[in-house]
Amino acid sequence: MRLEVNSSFERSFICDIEENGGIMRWQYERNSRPEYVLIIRAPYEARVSLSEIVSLINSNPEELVEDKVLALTPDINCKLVRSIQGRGGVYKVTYAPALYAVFGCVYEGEALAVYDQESARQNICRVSAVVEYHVEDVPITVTSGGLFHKKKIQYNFSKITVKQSDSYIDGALFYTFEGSPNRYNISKSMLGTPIFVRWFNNERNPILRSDLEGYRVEKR
Amino acid sequence: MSIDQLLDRVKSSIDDENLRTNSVGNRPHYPVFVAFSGAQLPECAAFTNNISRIWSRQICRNLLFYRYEPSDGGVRFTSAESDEAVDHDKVYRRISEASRTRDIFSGLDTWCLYNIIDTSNFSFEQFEASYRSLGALRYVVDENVRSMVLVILRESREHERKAINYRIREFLINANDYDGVMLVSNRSRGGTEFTPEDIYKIASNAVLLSDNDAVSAIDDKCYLERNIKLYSGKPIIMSYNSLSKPTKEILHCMTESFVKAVRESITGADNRRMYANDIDAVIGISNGRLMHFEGFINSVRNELAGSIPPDFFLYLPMMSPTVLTDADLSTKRFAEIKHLFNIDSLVLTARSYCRRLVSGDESKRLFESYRESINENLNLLNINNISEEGIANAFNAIMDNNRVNEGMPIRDYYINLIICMIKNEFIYPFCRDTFKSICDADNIRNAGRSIEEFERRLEDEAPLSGFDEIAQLYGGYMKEFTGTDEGKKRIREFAAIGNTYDDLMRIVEETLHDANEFCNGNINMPYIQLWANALKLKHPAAIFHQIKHILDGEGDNAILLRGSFPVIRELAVYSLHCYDRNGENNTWLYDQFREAFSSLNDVHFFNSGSEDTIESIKFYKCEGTNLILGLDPID
Repeated sequence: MRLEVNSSFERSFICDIEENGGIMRWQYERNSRPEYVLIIRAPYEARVSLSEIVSLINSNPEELVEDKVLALTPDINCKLVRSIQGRGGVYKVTYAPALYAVFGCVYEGEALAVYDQESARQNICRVSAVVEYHVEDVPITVTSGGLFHKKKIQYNFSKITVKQSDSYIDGALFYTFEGSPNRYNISKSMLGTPIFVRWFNNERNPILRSDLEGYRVEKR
Repeated sequence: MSIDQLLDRVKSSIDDENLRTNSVGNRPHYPVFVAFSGAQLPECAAFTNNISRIWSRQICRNLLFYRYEPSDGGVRFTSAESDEAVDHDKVYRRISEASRTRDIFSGLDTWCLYNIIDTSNFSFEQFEASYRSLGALRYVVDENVRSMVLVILRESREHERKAINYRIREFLINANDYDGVMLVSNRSRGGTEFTPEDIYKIASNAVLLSDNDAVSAIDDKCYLERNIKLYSGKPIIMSYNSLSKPTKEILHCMTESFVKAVRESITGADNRRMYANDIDAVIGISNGRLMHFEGFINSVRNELAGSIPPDFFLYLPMMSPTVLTDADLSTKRFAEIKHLFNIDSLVLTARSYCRRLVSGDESKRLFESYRESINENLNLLNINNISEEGIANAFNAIMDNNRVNEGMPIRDYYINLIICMIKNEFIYPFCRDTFKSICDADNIRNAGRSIEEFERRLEDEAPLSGFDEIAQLYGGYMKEFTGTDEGKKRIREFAAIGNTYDDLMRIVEETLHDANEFCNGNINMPYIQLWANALKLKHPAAIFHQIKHILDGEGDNAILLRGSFPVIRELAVYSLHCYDRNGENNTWLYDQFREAFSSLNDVHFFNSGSEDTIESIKFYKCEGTNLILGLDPID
């Protein structure tokens, strides 16, 4: 199917786009429902240029068919959806860092015209990969000193298990401590198996943070 | 910029340099305002260049040169160096600036105004409008003004042009608005035609001779006498002859010689084998180190040693909760304790440190400067002999292929890991890619094409008559220069990959300057002697005779105006290096001239200070009906 960008004016078909629980939802502007929507999935940090995407589609227009994901580049996919019902649309997303953009399309004569949205850009939604981890405190007691000066010291450790995630890339997360400049990266090979981290000055437990945009940590 | 313009630039900068070293103290007596009407930019340049040859570029920056067009009783100015319009306020500012100068002019109570009217493409009415712009120009200058109009005629067979020229000459019979009137035509009485640039150069002598002030007292007397004649208010015509060093031709010949040497080097290099040492030198490897990054590596090492806190390793992710002490970390070998840690995290943390480091501005600049240094090292002389394999081998040889030594404490291990990583994962790959991108076949082809283009243009602009002996002599010295270290460096620069045509022009310009100095060291004699040697003139009398013949041999035929008017000479000026700035230490040639003309009152000498040029500029009266004598009035 061949598309055309209607560049003469912008028309905001889509608004209030959001993602929750793996479902992306949007509303149609009152009195302005498109006939189709074009959904784009691109890298998290990408900037979406509608005209570039349409020219990619039009380089092989026969490959664009309704309700089928089409890979435009190794990083960018698109899907044309026709079933426009009700006052909004939904789309199931996968939890990997990605940018989704939804554009309204209407037939104008023979061609299906795609409209760019106005500058408010309420048609773009960034979805982060959620990386779950589990943590428990593991205190270790070490006895030191001679027979009469025996001293027991408790050393605090955290046992952290980061859940396996297909979309994880090396170094996406790190841990650090409050009051410490040090950061320790977590590799993909460390997912699924527990690691033990000693508390900073025996007082501060490790805190997991994401080092890359598009990753979110959640404690379970 | 054309090659011709480039050579012009080099020539005037050499002239300037000569002037600085041999200054005889010439300068303008009064501030100068030159207003060109009908002039093109190259003609204005020829005019101003000849003035700056005597007064220096520095002084000429304080003189005003503008092009103008009469407009509604006033004038509209444009720059004499570009097509930029210039408003009157700017002109006023320049006039006030000139009035604030000290030690440049001998007096500021008068301005010398020169109205240069080029009638080559003018109607009579246009000429008249420009002629009558004196009032408007005076109004702009708004100071006491000494005025001179310089009318340039273009003689041609066209009926219309003849008619216009006749009317102009007729008009000048009764013209008495200016203090001085000069008339110059592009054809001499003998029929020789001059280019517009030549005519402007000749005409500019009117400015030099009517406003020059020299340090020595001898010149003061000449100045007064000259000006009585030049500012008689009556039309004056002129003739011009010169014997000058063909500097531009010399530069052209030197450029050819240089480019030929480059071509020979490229051809000769094609089959030369590059040994591993040669490749290392191009890459910048010395004693197994990439020297460009050595300072950076050392500073990283020092910074790491000071910035990693002692307890950093206590908090690494561990395989089991194990309590290590500071002593364990500082005394135990890494190999002994590594099983306790998740090593992937350590490697990843090191890599993330490296990534942050190389993305800093300072590192980016360092990487960029490496690219530049490689650009300079790679050229058409070596690039075809450097294989990708050769480059790969050179980098492989310096790679830290061995695993980092685990026999040291974890802190030292970690620092070495980072250093090794920066080299192997960031620096070397960047360098290899840099080479690959520069050695790209397209780049090599483009560099070759730029040189071919340069050679082609140089050939197109070569003098038709070929080079004379003197130019060839200098060309030969350029060849010798290309054999010196400095010359070889210039050849490599010229053949560098990534040069644009503009880069080549810049390199040639710099090379000509260097080579000129080299030549001066070798040909340590004034031009006249060089010229006499070339003509195999040995006897001083013969040399002088020949010079005089060149300057005066044409007689009245050299006068730059056609017509059968009677020739009444007012003044003959011989411009040459006469004496030093104090009027002492006469040159041999000056003494010869003085002796030869001792009986003539109307002969003057102008101490140009230049060893490279001898000129004769003669002025004649041509007034009243003599202006149109023998010409047919054409309607």
